[in-house]
Amino acid sequence: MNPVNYLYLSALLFTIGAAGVLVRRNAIIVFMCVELMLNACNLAFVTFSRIHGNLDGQIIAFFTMVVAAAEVVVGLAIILMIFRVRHSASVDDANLMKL
Amino acid sequence: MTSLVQSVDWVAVAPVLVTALTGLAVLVTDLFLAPRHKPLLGWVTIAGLALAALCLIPLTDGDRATFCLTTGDRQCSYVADHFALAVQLLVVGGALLTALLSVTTVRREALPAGEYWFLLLSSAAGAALLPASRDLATLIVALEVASLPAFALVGLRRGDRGSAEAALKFFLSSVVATAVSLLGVSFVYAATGSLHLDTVAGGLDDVDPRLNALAALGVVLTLVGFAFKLAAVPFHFWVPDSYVGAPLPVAAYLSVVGKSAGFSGLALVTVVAFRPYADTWGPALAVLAALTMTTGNVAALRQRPDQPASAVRLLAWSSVGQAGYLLVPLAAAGYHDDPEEMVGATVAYALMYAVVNLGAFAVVALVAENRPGHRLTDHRALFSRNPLAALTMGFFLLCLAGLPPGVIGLFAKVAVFRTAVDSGLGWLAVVMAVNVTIALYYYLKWTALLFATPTTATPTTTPAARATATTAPAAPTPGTATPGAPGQATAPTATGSTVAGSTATAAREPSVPASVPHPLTAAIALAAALGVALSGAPQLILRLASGTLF
Amino acid sequence: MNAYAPILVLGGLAAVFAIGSVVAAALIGPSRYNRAKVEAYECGIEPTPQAVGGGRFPIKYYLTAMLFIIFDIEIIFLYPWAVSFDAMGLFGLVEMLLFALTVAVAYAYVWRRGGLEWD
Repeated sequence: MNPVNYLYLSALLFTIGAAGVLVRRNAIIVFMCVELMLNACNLAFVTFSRIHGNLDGQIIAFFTMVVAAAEVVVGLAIILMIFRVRHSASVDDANLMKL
Repeated sequence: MTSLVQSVDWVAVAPVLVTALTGLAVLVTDLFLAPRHKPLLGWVTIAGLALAALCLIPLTDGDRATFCLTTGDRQCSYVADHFALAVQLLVVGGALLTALLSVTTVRREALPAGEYWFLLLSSAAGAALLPASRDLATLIVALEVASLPAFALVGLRRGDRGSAEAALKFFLSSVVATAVSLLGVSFVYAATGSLHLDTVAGGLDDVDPRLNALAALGVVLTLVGFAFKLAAVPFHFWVPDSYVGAPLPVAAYLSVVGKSAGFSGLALVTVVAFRPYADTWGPALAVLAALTMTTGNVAALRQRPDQPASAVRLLAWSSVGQAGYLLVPLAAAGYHDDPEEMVGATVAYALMYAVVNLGAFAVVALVAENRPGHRLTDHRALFSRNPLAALTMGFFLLCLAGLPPGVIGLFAKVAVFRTAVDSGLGWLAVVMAVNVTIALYYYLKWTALLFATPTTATPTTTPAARATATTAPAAPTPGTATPGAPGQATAPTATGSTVAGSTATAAREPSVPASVPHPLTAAIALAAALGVALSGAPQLILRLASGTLF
Repeated sequence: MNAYAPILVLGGLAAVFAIGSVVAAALIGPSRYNRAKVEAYECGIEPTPQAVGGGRFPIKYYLTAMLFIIFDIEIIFLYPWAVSFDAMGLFGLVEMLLFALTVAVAYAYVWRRGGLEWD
């Protein structure tokens, strides 16, 4: 199969993720969109790795996955903490810091 | 077949490793430690960081490299060259001063000790790894190792709404920046087929013309993640909120070590990896530098001194402005024939900035011992209460402003300025000059505030001033609850003019501050000693600015 | 095609074992009906028309999920090692043990802090 198709998919995923980050207001959804962006990057890395015929791309994909997992955990912890204090996960409600 | 096993030079990685292992040790020790022994953890942390700094000594030749490929062109992933060592010294030293600052904060705010020290050390380990890494995967991982614990540190105050929201804002924007950065890395990888910085530079030299746009886009996108850590405009909006929401030492840490992670990453990717695309990132960084310093300084100018946390907010915005100066040599590197020389000026500036900014944060922490509001007005007439603290604070502020006697600040600024002029970026030099002038205003205003004379008598208080003082929300000033006119016990909420405010200045402030915690004093003394030493012998830092580091 | 023969054999053996177990259980085992047998197997919640609690579930699930992700993702680094452990030799083994030790520290932390207790 033509590897370029994977790149299209990756670009699509990244765009969906980026749009979600900008549009959605729920912290958890924003967060899922970030994960989508990271995984789109992973797909791109693996595809380019295939095109170039070396493994560098696959290695960085591994590390990206771990980084993403660590981000999930830290992010969920922060969101949980906010939820405990405020009982809402909306980004818009997090307005205490507005100038 | 050659063995694929890479040899590990443990001495070369020691500074990072010692920091990380101390972190693990602290975390495990905390689990089995009785609560009354928890303060020990802070001292273990400080000892670990000092040890990590000592581990830099055997590396001073700057010729160590490890984690090298055993095949092909033997690229190494970890290089302990002079650039790496200088930034590692900055990171470890910055973390050490932060740790000194934190000892009292952890106890007073009842932060979970084991977690706090572990997160601080992990983040420092990531920031120390970053300048030594020579491939894009390690760079990204190091960047994340430096950032992820920082999010948690910002949000560590349990049940505090501001802390949690600051952490969320910082976190969400940072991970988006990382994702964008990763996309950029993937484009660069697509164009060059490698992740090692030197090979990337070679690959970018002769990119397939059809991939030219892709490579250029990749180069620019990769910069985003690092520019975010450096708090360059337009990736700066998290800074004031995070600094105010975080415990004060964490804010100090972010302003110094976080920034060093950002600028060292930027220096590596631009000067080492993306050198063939200097005509793309050079102008981008120049615009970024101009925007950053202007936005930071103008916003700092607009801080009202009587607002809660205005001192921290001012330092936050001034740190954004300083980030702009840090970017100038990097931008200049894009225009200069010998870009590596430019990086030296950035490192020199960063070292200076790290010392004096941490010092300034330490004095703010000291003032907050008596008046926890972090207001600028809390600093009024500090000289009469604590002359030594006021003098050191004045010194730090003058260094940040770049005026004598803060000689080192002046020299570092001149070094940065020279890079812009040398590489033909006249307009950037002009912008920088204007910004330095703007910054003079608020730094000097703060300095003047420190030395404002406290008036002693109530009768001089004009009715108007008394009215402002009584109606305005009083700054919490424990220990000043002496009976008397209500207007005189509260620090006046300044109405903009220093002169008008000084008539009603807190005359009844305790002339000697309540017992100041020793670690805090040590931090201030250390920063002041470093600053004075560097001012006396600026050639120490300026040698960095003149030689090549790589 | 020859390379796939062992996989086919493995698949065949697995199928024989699976089908054999099910058939044997039906033939040999006693079959007595009781309520527990129609309920959701082992874990999970009885399906209801509306989501319980308006679709919300206890925050404790998040904690468990977070812990799971951490330990789950660590496994990723075992794959490259598993594929090339003969090339890495003793060095690789020692490195993986050090890695596992680091993960064990995280485990010890979670355990001591009570992250593994449900209530």
